[in-house]
Amino acid sequence: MIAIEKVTKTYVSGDVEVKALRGVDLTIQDGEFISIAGPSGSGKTTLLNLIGCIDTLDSGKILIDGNPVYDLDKDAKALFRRETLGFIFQSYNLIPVLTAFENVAFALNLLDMDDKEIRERTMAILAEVGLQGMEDRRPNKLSGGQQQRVAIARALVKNPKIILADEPTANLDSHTGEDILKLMREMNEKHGTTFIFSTHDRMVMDYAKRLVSLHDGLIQNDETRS
Amino acid sequence: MKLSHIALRNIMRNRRRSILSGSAIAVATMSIVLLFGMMEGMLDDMARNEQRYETGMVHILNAEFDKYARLNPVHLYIKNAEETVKAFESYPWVTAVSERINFAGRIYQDNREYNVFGKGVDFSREKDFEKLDEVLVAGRLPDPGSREAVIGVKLAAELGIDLTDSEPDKITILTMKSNRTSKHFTVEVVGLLAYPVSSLNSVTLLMPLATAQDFLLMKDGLSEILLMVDEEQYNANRAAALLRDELGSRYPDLKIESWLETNLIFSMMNMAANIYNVFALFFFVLGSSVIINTTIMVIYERMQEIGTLGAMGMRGKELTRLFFLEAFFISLIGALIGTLIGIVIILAIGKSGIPLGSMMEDLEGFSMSNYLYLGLSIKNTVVVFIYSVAIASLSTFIPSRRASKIEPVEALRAI
Amino acid sequence: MKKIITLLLFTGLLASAGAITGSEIIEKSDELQSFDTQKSSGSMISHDRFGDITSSFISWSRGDREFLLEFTNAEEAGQKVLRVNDTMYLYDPDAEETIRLSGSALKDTLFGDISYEDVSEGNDTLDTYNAELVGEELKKGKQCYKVELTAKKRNAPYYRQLLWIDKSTFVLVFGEYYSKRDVLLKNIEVLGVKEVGDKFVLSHLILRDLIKGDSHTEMKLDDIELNPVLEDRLFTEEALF
Repeated sequence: MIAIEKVTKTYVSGDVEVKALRGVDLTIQDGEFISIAGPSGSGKTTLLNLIGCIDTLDSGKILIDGNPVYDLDKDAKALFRRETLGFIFQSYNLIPVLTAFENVAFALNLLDMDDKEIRERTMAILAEVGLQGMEDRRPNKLSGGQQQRVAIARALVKNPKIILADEPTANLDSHTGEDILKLMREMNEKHGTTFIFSTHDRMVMDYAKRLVSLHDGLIQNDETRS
Repeated sequence: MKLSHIALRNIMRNRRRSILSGSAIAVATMSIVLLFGMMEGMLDDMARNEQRYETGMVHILNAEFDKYARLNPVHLYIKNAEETVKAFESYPWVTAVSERINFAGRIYQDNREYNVFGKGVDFSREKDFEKLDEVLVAGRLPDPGSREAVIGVKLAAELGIDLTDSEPDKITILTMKSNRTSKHFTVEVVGLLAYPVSSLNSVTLLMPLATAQDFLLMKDGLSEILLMVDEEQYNANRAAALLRDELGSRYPDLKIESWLETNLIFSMMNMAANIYNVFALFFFVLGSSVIINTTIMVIYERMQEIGTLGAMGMRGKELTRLFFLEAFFISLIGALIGTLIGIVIILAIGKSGIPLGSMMEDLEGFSMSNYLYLGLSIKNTVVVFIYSVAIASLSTFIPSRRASKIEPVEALRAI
Repeated sequence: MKKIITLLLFTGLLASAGAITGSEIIEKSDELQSFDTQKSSGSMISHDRFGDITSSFISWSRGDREFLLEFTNAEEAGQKVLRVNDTMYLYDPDAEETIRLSGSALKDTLFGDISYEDVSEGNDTLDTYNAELVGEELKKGKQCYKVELTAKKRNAPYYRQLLWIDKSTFVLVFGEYYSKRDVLLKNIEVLGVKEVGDKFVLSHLILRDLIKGDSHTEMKLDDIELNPVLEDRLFTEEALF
């Protein structure tokens, strides 16, 4: 469970202070498939980054399974991320010198797993995301959708509790974007992984089981769908 | 997927830049291998010349001589030479002996004067000691006890002696006897010597020991005894120390020194060679500047990647290692190639030498040959290689560390 | 200095009285060297930090331009030094040719503190030097004229000389020899004078090469024979062999 309590975050950009989050309270249960929606500048990426432990909050608390992750030091956050969190980025962010297989396997390498298990798990997840036979391709030999599938596999392969996806479909055409969302939802259902994704795309929001809307750093709406 | 694999692949991402970085290190390494090779060759060459022609590995002479060397103290010589030589020769690790009488002389011819550095030597021994066969370029060596001599080719040329006509070529030398009174005598030149050390060729005269002893009133006397020793058993310093211990009290009038103790110039050069380490350091840092720059650029270029890896849970020191490894591999390959090219050049031209022309002629007192030889020292080469890799890697460690300071969130924002 | 050795080896000095100027004193000395022939035997002893070396010799001279010295001690036996006019010849029984010295080679050591040059100069002092009587003083227990010689010619062996000459006998008592930079190079001290017939000959003197340091060389003449009959051939290079 993720408990977000009165979180604020202000950026200073030059002389201008940007209040990205102005006191957000939110609780996310395990296994949710939740979309953080809002126009750009609404604070959705900031919220994702704070949950993802790659940014620091100004005040408030974020507890993941009761663990005050906002208070960990840099290295401890890194270790927490590698075990508990998976990331999916708008522009896929695959390591260009690694093949699809290697990109995925790398997440497991960080966990000191033995080679055999890494291989088995990587091949399995790549098959699950529909990339069987493309394991040896490097990112530049894959389409955008395929690259995002690799990214999903990379996030999923270590069985994280939570996957954070920042605008996962923004760089894809709507058809491919839909495929990706279907895949994410399928994985959510199959593995029970919590998915939190940000978007300002209506179609994407439609796939969410819960939709949280942010506006000017505050939660404007929080609805759960069937 | 090990970090090292990723690092290796990253090298290929901008192949031209990696090649440039590697080349800079290769050139620096090669230069230093050659520089050290040159130093090695020079010192080897000087050591060989110094030992053969000047002091041997162990140098034995009258203990007082050096103190008064300025005054040409010809009377300070080794008495009871025969017995003394036997005592030193009795050590099985003494491999060669040279018995010498030294005299400074002058030749007056056609209103010109020529300085001569004369040596009375036992040719049967000197032949091996100085490897005279290698330097005798015309005629033959003098017969024992005869009034014959061999002289340096340049001295011969100046005196107009070429041994081609049937007329005997005679020269008369004015010098000083061991009782410090003047003396001159005539010898026939029967052979010419071309030493590798240019300065020797214009002054050297070798004549039979017995004749020199007779002329200079040094019956059973020698100016110096030179020993070569088996270096497998003792190095020169240890051999000299051993001889001092065992024979010093029996011959209190003698000074027994290793050639390194005698030849301070060489010892100084040896020390000066350390300066080359500083040069080397300088070169390596210079060579490393390209890869430092590359590393800095690479970190900027892969900012988003750093962010991604950070988000995936890679810690700062792991990120540092990733970039460090990349620079390290480039350095390793560059240094390896540089070292190999250096070795190949040394092997190709080191032995035959690079002619220095007349450059060395005026360098009196330096037993340097007219050829610059390059010597290959495995120890030096390995040291250079390691040194080069170490400096290049260490200097890239600083920019690599930047990778660990970057916040993933900022890195991800970078395009 | 050379001059003095020459005097010693070549001739004796005639006593005279009443010289006033420096030039006159020197002229008198030079005049007094005019003689026909001389034969003498003696020894040279060099003393320095390394010990003593003694050589014995016989010398012959005719006029002031011909001079021959032959060593008679065992170590130098047969070695000869011949001067004819301005040329110096060295002979050694182990050499097939003589060595002819001139120029700077004349500054080399013949024996101890004595250079070749010291035995090779002619009696043309006033051609080479200006002489000036600078005073009279007691030197080594003798009342002396103090005469200063200054070089006229660039090739003069010494730039300046100070000579103390016995007023009563015109025999040299002491001499000092300076370089152009006024460094005292050598000095000479006359210890004995022999009377032969009606002439005085310097028979015992000490030379010090002050550049060499702590050393001096003694010269002694034991037998002096004036005006012996000498063959012309004696003073030729050929006769050395």
